Amino acid sequence: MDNLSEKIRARFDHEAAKQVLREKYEAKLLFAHQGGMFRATSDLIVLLSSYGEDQMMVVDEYGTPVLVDRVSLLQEAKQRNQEQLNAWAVELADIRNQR
Amino acid sequence: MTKSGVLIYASNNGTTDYESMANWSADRIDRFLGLPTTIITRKAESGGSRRFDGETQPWLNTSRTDAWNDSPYDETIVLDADYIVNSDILLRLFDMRQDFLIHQHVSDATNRGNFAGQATFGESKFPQSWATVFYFNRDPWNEKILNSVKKIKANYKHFSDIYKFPDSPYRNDYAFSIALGLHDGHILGPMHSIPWPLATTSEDVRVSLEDDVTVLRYKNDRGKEMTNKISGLDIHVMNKQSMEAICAGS
Repeated sequence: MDNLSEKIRARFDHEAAKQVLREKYEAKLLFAHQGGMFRATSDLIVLLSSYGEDQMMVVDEYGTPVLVDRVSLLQEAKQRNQEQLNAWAVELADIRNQR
Repeated sequence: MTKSGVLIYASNNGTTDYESMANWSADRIDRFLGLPTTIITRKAESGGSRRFDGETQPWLNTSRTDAWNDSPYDETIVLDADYIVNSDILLRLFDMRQDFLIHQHVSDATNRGNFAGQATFGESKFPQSWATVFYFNRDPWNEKILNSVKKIKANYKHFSDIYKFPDSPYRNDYAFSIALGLHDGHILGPMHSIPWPLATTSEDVRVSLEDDVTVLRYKNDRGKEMTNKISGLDIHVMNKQSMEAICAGS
């Protein structure tokens, strides 16, 4: 009974839930491409979009310059970025409804 | 074809049933990662004692330095028995070019900053790695790393004097941190870092698992009962009673 009332009294920790969600989706933005490990952030997308060459060097998550096919990396980064941000937004809306 | 798998060390200490935890984890590893698990249950040498839930328990934590020989895999992820696999994120480790990877950032899943003081260890503030999860392949460099961890374990007092940390209990985290530092020429950088934090709950957090949703219960800094629900994220659980209850109940 004590355990049950304790559960009922417990308040949902929105700040902790938001922090955990952010960490989860930042990890999900990671992907391997052409031998490098990249994170599909807006920074990466802006960088790739700002060049016109077919191939370019990009520094990956491990600080290693990787020669990449710019368009294919950009496509994958954009797709992954939007997939994960959408999923993040859905989960964020769910936790806002938690009590 | 490269053979990949997970290695878990599970030495029961008379109080906590790590073998049951490891068997339970193996099922989840198969389900979420599609990988085989090898569980090593031989009696480990004690690294000292540790208090869990107000109870002093022997800490049988010294076996993982044998991972090079114990692993039957070309690529191995070594996991603690109290790590709940609840996603496929660990598969990313096989996509990386790095030969050895370990967590070098930990996060408190309750957002109370309980591990803020553990980014470094010892008076010399050496950056800490977390041996809860690490990946290695068959590059000979990794055998040297694991051999160095063994040497550090065998000469723990000496290294505790140099790096200025308590010489008991033995901490894998410190031994791996020192070994990596030595082999990298004390050049610090992200080269061995798993690029996401190790989500962890401290010993005061009661953890349960309901339909793959991890439920955390704890008190905030004002003593108020709080709860958090987490799905799709792996968690390292320090409350062993919670882990035993989870494993017994599913």
